[in-house]
Amino acid sequence: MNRSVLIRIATPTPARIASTVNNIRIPADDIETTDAALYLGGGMVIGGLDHLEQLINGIADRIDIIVSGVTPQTQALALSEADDVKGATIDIGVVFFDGAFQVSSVQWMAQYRADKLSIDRTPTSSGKAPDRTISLSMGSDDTGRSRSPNAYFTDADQRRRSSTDAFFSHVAGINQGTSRLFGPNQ
Amino acid sequence: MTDFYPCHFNFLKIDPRVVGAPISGGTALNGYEDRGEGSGGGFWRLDLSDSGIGGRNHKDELLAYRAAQAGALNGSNPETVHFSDPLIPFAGAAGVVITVVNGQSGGLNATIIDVTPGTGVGAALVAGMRFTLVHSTWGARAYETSAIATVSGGKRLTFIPPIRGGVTVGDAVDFDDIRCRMRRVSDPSNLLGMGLIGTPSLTFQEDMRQPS
Repeated sequence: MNRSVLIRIATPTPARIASTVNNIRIPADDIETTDAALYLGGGMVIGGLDHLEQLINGIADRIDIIVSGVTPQTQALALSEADDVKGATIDIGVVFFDGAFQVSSVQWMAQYRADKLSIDRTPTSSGKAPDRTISLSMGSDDTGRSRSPNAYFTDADQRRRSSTDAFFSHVAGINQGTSRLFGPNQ
Repeated sequence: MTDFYPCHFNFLKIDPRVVGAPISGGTALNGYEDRGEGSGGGFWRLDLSDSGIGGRNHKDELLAYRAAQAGALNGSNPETVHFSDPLIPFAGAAGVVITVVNGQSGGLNATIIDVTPGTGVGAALVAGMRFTLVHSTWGARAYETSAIATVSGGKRLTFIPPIRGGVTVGDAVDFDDIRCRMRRVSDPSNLLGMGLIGTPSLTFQEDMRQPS
């Protein structure tokens, strides 16, 4: 099966990138509302889409997509537009081609929220051209940098609410890996 | 847009080919391996090696090579590279597109077109031959046929890679001078033996930067 990856960033003017070499047009559906929308190829997506996790029960996921083939002008543009992209919805899908490389179907796989756009210029070995890339960090809606840490309920917390309740009296002695028998003391 | 003719530099090995991003589905328990293509149809790559230029009486070859490399600006300047394919024995055989069979709006990504071969054809069209279409914004692009069939009024060409930019009825199909807009991706090194003889190698890749 011939297939490529689609990335749609819902900024005011949506950005559309495909991992194909050539530009392709994608038919309208629930996600891509413009019919025959043009997805840009060429600047190949070079990394970050090795795996997508299906989110079940709110488990958070975060991925970075990396785009190559970036000219200095594009990088400057990416920096100036970095604010627009923050918080934008990003849909990632797969386009399937038939044997003649015509679009046969599109399946949208995951939805993320854009976090941070950064540019990178990695020097390679001496005498070689450095790799210039744009990275876009994105997370599922359950991730957030301001999320509070896990809370622990202690015996003192419970005694404050009900001074005679000893239900949490052994909590302090429980560490990870400790097993305790449930029920009255033997 | 500058032109680059590999035939001027006596490359012994010329390897233009359409490459892509093959994806393997892994090998199953029964030994079967599923394969797919991930680049949406591939792109051209051209390896040239084992050149033999220069010598006491051919210093102009060295200078021409040096000038060509300087003009490429380390690959930042695209060039129209003429493949100099010896398997193309055509002469005066420009065809005309009569139908764009598949593809998207404007012929983008088409891989099947019908053409009328030009008059004065030097050889019959055979699958495996290449042709060039000159697109308005994407420039000259090469295509490689995988099948050629006879249809009413002409020949049906099935080819890769998919059409860049677009193609319309009436466009000229050049079977004679196969050329493609490419960028040099190799080092411009040209070590000179005895200060006079060079044996450089070059690699080009199809230029897929969005035309402005």
